[in-house]
Amino acid sequence: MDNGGFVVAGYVVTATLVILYTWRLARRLREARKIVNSKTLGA
Amino acid sequence: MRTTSRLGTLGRVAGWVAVPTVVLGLYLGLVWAPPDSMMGNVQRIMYVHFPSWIATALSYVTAFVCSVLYLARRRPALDYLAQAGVEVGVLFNTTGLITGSIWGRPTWGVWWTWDPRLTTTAIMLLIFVGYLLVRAFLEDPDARARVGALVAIVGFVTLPIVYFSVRWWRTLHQPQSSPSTVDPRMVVALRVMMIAFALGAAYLMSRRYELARLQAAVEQLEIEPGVGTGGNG
Repeated sequence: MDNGGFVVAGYVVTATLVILYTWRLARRLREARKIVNSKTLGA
Repeated sequence: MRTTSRLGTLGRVAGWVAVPTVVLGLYLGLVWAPPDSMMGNVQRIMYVHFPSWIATALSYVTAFVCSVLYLARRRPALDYLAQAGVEVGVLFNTTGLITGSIWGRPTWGVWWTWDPRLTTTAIMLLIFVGYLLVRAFLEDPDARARVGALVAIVGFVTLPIVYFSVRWWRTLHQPQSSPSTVDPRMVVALRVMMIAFALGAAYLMSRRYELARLQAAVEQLEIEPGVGTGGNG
């Protein structure tokens, strides 16, 4: 019994979800920093 | 305000250590460790499935401890960390459920079954998704933090139920294995991946904590323009 495709699917799904979340988190952080900086400097 | 806290710096270190640890764990789990004598190569899903639960438990425990402390002390930093714990916990709870389902198909013959372990895990995920929804709907920051803390505490109660479900009820899911019953190479590969996932979860929680701090500062700046929060991290 091999089922290598299931193993690949398990690793690919995990990597995809973690990478997508990390990327989105980085984008949200960048945007939040930009807003804080602009409001602090503009005040 | 400072845009990076001490926790953020520690998180970055965890993130940098996590990357080579994941690479090493992937090599150990996919190449070095032998296939299971009964299940064959499909057992290698274990090296992402079980570490996902370690990361989930670490994140939810963080959320629980911070929520209890927040209700006692009302320090905003504790609420920020609780939010981070829940969001990262939901991520790894999801990967744990999906990889379990992928593993279940070739070994049990089904993608999903209403087994006690699977059902309690799904309930735990739904409660913590509820936490995120509740926070999204409440506008008052204080109410959001208080209600969120209560939901996180209720959600945490499901964690020991999930853990002991394989002992309390007759389940399709196997009970916890002992390292003495499997090939030592499997144990090493699994432990390396567990460390990698725990470090990854710590990194993501620190980043999410930073975001919560910044979001709180933005909210405060919108109320009182020109006033930033110092943060407690």
